[in-house]
Amino acid sequence: MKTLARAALLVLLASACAAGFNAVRPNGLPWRGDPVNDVVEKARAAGVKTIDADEARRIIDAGEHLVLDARPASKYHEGHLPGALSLPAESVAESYGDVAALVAPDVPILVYCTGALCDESLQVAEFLRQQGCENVTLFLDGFDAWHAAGLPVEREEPTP
Amino acid sequence: MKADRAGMVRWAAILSRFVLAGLFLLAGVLKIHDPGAFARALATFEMLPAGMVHPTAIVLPWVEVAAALALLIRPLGRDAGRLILAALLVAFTAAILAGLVRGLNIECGCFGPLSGLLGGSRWAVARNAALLALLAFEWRVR
Repeated sequence: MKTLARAALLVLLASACAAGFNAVRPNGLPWRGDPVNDVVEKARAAGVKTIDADEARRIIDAGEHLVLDARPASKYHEGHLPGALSLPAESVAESYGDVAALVAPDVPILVYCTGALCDESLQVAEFLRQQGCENVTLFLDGFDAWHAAGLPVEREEPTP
Repeated sequence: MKADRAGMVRWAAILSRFVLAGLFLLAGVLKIHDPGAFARALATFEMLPAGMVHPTAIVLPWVEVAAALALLIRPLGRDAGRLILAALLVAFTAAILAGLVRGLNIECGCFGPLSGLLGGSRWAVARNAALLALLAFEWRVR
């Protein structure tokens, strides 16, 4: 009983620390919120359009967009959308040079990450907007939805 | 001879305590660093009501840190720390297993940005089972 009471006290203390720290930290998480809507709202605020899997398929089939995979490079090598290039969010500034020659303000760009709950594609989309890209679209449901729908996936050997 | 063995078991229990506390401290601090990423990881399990995802993402990492510190610092209550760690491990494992049953092989988000390096759900279940065994051993010897 004493152990249970102490455990409850520890949880209460931890909750108080969590609330206090979350209140003062610069990037504190709102107590109310939905991670999916958060990504959609941030994309909207950044001027980035979001689309679903059907629209993403139409875009890929049309082949008019530069398609960028914002997941870590290891995930990209395991499988990616047809024609996609890797621009990992974790190293977007360093890796941008690999795709910069293909990017221009009027080139339509489609960015995706794992799924509706990841925000790597949003980070890359915001970075591209800062580089002057005006037509950036975010495939919200990402690779998982594409793969689950049985749509074609390309794989690559990792570079040494 | 018997005393030697008892001494070894005692040292093994102390080592287990430090391993458990170290892992939970690391896991907690990594999640505290990026609560948004942990919230997204929690949401992928589709087990919590939408309104509970953010509060859990804010509080749970601190509970991990508190339990880990309690395990190391006797006055905070080692048994309370052990109880919380056991409850967390059982809850995490149940959530991952429920995800696997529904066909979700997702990164658990247990170690924040390092989770992707630690394999998918099956590895997480195996790791949690090993940690539970270690905790049971440490608790028994204490």
